[in-house]
Amino acid sequence: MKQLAFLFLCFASFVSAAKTDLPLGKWIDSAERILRAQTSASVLKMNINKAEYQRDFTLLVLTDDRDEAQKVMVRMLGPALWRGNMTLKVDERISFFEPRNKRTTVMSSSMLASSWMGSHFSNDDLMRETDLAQHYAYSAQKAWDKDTRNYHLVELTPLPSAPVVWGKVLYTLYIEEGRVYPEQVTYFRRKDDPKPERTLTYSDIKNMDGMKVPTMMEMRVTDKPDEYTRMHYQKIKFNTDLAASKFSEQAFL
Amino acid sequence: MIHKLALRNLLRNKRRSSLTSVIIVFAFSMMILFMGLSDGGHKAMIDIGVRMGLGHIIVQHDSYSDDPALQHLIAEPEQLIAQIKQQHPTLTAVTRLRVDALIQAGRHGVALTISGVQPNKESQVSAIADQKAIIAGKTLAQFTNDQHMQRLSGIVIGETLAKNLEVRIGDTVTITAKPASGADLARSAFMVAGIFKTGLHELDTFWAEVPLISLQTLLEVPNYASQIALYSQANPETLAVTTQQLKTTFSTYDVQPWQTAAPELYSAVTLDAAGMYLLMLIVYVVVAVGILNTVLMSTFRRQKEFGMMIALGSRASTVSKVVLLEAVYLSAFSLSIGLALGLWGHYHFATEGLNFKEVFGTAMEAGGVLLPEKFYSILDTSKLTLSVLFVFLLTIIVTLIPAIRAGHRSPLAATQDA
Amino acid sequence: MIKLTKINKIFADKHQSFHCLKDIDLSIGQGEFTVIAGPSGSGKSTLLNIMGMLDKPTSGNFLFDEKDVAQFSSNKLADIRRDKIGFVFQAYNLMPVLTALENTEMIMEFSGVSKKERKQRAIETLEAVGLGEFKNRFPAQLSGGQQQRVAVARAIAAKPLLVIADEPTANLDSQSTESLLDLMVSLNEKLGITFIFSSHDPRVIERAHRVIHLQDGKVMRDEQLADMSAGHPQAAMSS
Repeated sequence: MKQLAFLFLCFASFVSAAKTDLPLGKWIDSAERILRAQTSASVLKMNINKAEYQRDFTLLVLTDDRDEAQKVMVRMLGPALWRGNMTLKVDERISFFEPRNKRTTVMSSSMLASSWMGSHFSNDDLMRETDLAQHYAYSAQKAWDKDTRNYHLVELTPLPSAPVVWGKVLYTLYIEEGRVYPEQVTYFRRKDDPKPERTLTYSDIKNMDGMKVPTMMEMRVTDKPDEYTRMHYQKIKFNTDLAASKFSEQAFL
Repeated sequence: MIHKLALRNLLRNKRRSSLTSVIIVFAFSMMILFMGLSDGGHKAMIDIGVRMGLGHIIVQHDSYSDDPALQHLIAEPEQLIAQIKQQHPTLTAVTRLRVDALIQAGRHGVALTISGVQPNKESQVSAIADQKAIIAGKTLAQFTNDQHMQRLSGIVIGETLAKNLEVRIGDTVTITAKPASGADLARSAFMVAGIFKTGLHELDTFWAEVPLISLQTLLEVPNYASQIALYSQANPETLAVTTQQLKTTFSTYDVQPWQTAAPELYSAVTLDAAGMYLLMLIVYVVVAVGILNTVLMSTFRRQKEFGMMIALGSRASTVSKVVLLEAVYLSAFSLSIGLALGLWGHYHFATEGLNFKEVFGTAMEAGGVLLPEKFYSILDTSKLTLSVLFVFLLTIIVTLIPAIRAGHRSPLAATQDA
Repeated sequence: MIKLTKINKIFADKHQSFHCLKDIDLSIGQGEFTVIAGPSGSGKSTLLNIMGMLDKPTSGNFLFDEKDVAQFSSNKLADIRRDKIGFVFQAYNLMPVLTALENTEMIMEFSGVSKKERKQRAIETLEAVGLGEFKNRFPAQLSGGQQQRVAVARAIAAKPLLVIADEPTANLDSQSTESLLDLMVSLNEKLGITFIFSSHDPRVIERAHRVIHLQDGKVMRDEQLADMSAGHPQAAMSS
């Protein structure tokens, strides 16, 4: 009897697991936010490798997700030429600050398409940071285990009328010790496209401020295999109480 | 007798008279030919230009020209159209909403102008929305009419834009723009319904059309429009009158004829027309010089003859009249033939049209407008008549002084030795 | 008819002046057949030009039909030349684009004579000079002598009072010279037209009734060679 009940439980849990009750949306959301928590303050090195040029920046990044209006502040720490440049995003409004001529530019829709600081990320990427958690329908494709990690491959397809530019996104994430980690995100232009247009890879798991997080993000464009943009986190502080004033244009001056 | 003398004198030196005549015939007939082709070309340019998202008359909010912001839109455009059509029922009216926005597909993004149109109405007047301009997919009208099951509104984009975005028919793109509510950005998805090619770089790379309602929704301006475009079949003079009437009746709006709404087109046309006037000037000079040369040469040789006439008792005015008549007959004869030839050429091009591509190898773009491959010669009768009269008058003016001087030859010239 | 008193003509330009006619006193009456004789440079042509009102004297008095010519406007002078004087020049007498007939009619056309009448008169005159059958020929198709005859026909067809001819036979052969002279004499006798012409040809001079010898711009001699017919009073003569 006990065996039967156990079997039944297993069966039930198996069935329930097989149902699309997997919290895919929540997993994607958690994976996307892994480096943000409620608030974060990080120093990272950005290395851009393009055919036309190579750049190395050191950035200070502050994020604050405590309110509806998410805030991001990026300040260039180096090299000297760009030191002091700042990008501020409050909800959907992005503004740039150039210390040399003390000019603040509010981003218009036409600037969305241009790349952010010459990298493989666009200003729009900066804007749509949490897009993947919102406008897509999720479908579990595969699941496998490796070591202590429980991997899942999730296919994201845009909801009807969703204002998104990707026809399909394949998200590889894993769950370890109860937390969701992103491993790779491949972006496809059209659902049936055999090749992705770009790929974002997370790696180099380290302990930062008591949390295990991937500290390396690399974006590659399929058509240009020799190019990449890497963001390498040097140090991060999570959940400090960041003053709201840090996320305003007054902070520019 | 003076007519007899004049005519026979012309025939006296057949070679000189013929040569002058041929020069005048050639110059004049060419002028007429080019006049017709030039005017025809301009009309074609204007017709096409006006159909590239423009219009013969554009009605906008008073402040829209200076600041095309969402606060300066026309409210309830259909009502305004109804009022306009009451006064001018022959005009065709379309409503449009324009905005600068961002189009994105995959990792590509391009800043461009979006034009929200009424697909069925627009296809009647616009060369962009036209079936002929579509090189892939459907026109916006066809797509929207077939829509029933489709979730996304359609968008038609230019060929170069499609290439730059690497999109195909059926792909989804997003349009991002700043809405009226003051929020920073609003974004909607559209399905690429068709790809057009106008041949004009600006349009093919930075222009897209969507249904008016979709754009109004995105921008949060329901029942508002940037402009009402009016199209007419009337000739330019009538059009000017209509524009003036509209300006007076709808004084709270900004009513512009295409000449001010599209100054580049207008200046291209006027510049070209100026070139034509220059040509006409050259022809006039050629004719004047030709006649003057002939008259001077012939009077120079006949000093004894004129002296004799005076000696025999003719008045100075009689001699002058003979010289003048010679020029008049030569001019009239040459002009008639030149006119006939020119008109024949014009008639040929008025019916057959000139296929620019055949003749010059490429299609011609001028002032940002693509000329249709074929256009027809048009002659303005009053312009033509004035030209003929002017040349005639010129002949007389040019001959006047030599004629007067011929008449005042001393009669002693007749008595001198050969 | 013509009365010249102290007529002087000086030709002057920037560099030099030439006193061509010096104090000429002369009268010629109606019906005379007078030759102005003299070597070249004597002023014959100039004198004829003044008498024919083609040129104006520098000083002196010219009465034509007892009226002072100096008072006449150039239009009035043209009218007198048209109506009262006929000219026969040495050469280039005829309009090359007109036929003999049309040339003959020309002066009458200037005067406004009716088409029918002038055509008739022209034909008659041409026949009188013996060129009736050549009336539709152009000057280029006529010999030198024939051309001069047409010129004479033209000169008299308009019924002038006076015919002035400057060396009319200079370019003609002797036969044509004779016949032209015969013609002019008979016209003078039959119609009473005054003939004043210049020549240095002795054959011509001997046919004249009166010869005025000119030398260096002055009248040297004024000879009466024959009776003037047609009953016109003779002018006084100087020696």
